[in-house]
Amino acid sequence: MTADIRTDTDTDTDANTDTDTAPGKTAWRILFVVLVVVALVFVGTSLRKYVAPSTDATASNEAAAAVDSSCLPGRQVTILDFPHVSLSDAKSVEYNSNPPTSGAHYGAALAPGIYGEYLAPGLTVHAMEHGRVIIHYRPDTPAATVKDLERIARSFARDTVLHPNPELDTQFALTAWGRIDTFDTYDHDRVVEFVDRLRNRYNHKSTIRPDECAVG
Amino acid sequence: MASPTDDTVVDAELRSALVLLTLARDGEDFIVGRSDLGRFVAVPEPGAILIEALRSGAPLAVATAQATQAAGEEVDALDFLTGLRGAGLLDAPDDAQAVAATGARMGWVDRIPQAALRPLFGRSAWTFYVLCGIAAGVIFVVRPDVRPIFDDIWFLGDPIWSMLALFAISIAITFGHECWHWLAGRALGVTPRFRVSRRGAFIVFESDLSPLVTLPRRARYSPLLAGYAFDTVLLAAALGLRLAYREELLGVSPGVDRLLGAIVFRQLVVLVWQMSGVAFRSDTYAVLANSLGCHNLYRATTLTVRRAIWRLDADEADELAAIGPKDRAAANWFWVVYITGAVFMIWALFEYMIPFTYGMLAWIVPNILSLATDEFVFWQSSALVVLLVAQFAVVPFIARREGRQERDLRQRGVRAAIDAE
Repeated sequence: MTADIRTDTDTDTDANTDTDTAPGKTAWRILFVVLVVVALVFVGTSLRKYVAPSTDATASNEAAAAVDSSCLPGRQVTILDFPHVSLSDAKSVEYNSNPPTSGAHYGAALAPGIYGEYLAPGLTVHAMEHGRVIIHYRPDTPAATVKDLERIARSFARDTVLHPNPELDTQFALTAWGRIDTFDTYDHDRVVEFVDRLRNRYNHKSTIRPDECAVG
Repeated sequence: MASPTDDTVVDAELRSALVLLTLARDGEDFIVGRSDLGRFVAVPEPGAILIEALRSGAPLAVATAQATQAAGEEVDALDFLTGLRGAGLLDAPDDAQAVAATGARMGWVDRIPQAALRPLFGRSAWTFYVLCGIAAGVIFVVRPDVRPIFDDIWFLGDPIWSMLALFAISIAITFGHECWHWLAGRALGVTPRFRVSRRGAFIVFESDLSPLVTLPRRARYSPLLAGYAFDTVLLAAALGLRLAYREELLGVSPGVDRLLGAIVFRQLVVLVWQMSGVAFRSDTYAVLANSLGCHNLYRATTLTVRRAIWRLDADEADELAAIGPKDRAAANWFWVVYITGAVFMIWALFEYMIPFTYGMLAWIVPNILSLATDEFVFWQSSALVVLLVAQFAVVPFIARREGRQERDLRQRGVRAAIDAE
């Protein structure tokens, strides 16, 4: 027994016997350096998009022009530059459609789902940038129609945001990144088609659902 | 060396202090400790024999003879007792320093009858917990639409209210997680302790489950895994409710559905952390260390890796040499578990935490820089920054406190007897 209470009473002192020149040590150091380098490259690559994010819409518009989207529902809208802005600055932002389909938006995003209150364009534009489809309806829409819209939103729960929008010029509007459809007479199939074709079509600069129009 | 016949050192005070010690076999070793102080050490069998003999009233000479016979060589009993005193195991009950080091005792847990808690941690209960885990996994596989995305955090129309609400919810869920550890320990008659600690740069709530060392290793799994059980049941419940809502089997407010989405996101991140944060002494680490029969695997692995890559100073080399052979043997390969866990943690970091943090900063920084003091959002953003900064500002103080306590214990020749925090 020893004064410093320990479980083993053997005299194994291998911890004291190795030196800086031990043969295995070089291999360990190489492995360690390789792991650190790989980790740094991965972290650096992953962080690059956050350090200096591009907010210029030129590339997005060129990409949109190069693709035949005539078969997609709704109509194409020119994509605006899409910087993050403060709430204060958002008040002076001008969009090129009502409701907007791209442009300046808040830094925080928005969970998909059904909302009972009006959502600011700064939030819905960010949601579209993440591939969501926004379903807008005027607050005076009949309850039965709202119920049907809710049913659609539930069946595409991960890809849609549904909210009442008193700013609308028409009774209903459907928006996805760079695309819009507006109408006054409710059409269930029209809503479903817009959501189904355009959800996740865009996520930041990537078109993750290629347009099918040119195929065949 | 003092004479073994010198009985004046083993006075009534020392004998009464020895009575407070708990003594339990753990493989080839014995765990000696004080449940009231939350402090335990491992000793070889002759040490346990010496303590038992003295507690039963044997003179020092007789106790030493019994220990010597078990050791097969002469033992220095006075040296051993000095070591126990240095380890703080012979301190007066409720020693303030020990309490500060190991955390607050959960008195209310002590008042719950053990029998009332056993059904929560019996065979049926654990079957239920496992089934919840399987159900959650199946739902994730067959219903990709309920898999969490980091946008789920912004579940309210106001980003900062979302953040603050989730912060409060997370504290409540963390408390539930720790409670389940405590209650599982109490069901086995063990008193846990609670303290605020850190893992890297993050503040964590921590249950000190050191008293589990008085139980057979097999019995320790229930308290060690209880936090997992709590988190898994909550995850399965949130997923099940979301699914029921989407299938129109449940008529709740859409806001509740989004709240459940935020909880699913939070629970998944926490479970990934618990499973992969082995290098940060997560619950998985405690379970692995227990199953490997180790006492101080974390420190053994740290020192082994440091020795392999760089070198150890004399104190560190002595410390590693003093760690049990099982720990040292496991440490030779346990670093692979560290690295594997780290890969998963980095994945979770980039998949969930960085996008969320970036989104949060991209919202609050412009709002503060706008200097629009007449806007509520300016003050909201400022308050959130203060909250976040305060959280990280506390970490150096905790690190200094824990470093001081650890150095103190090392100087006193004490090492951890169990990996169960």
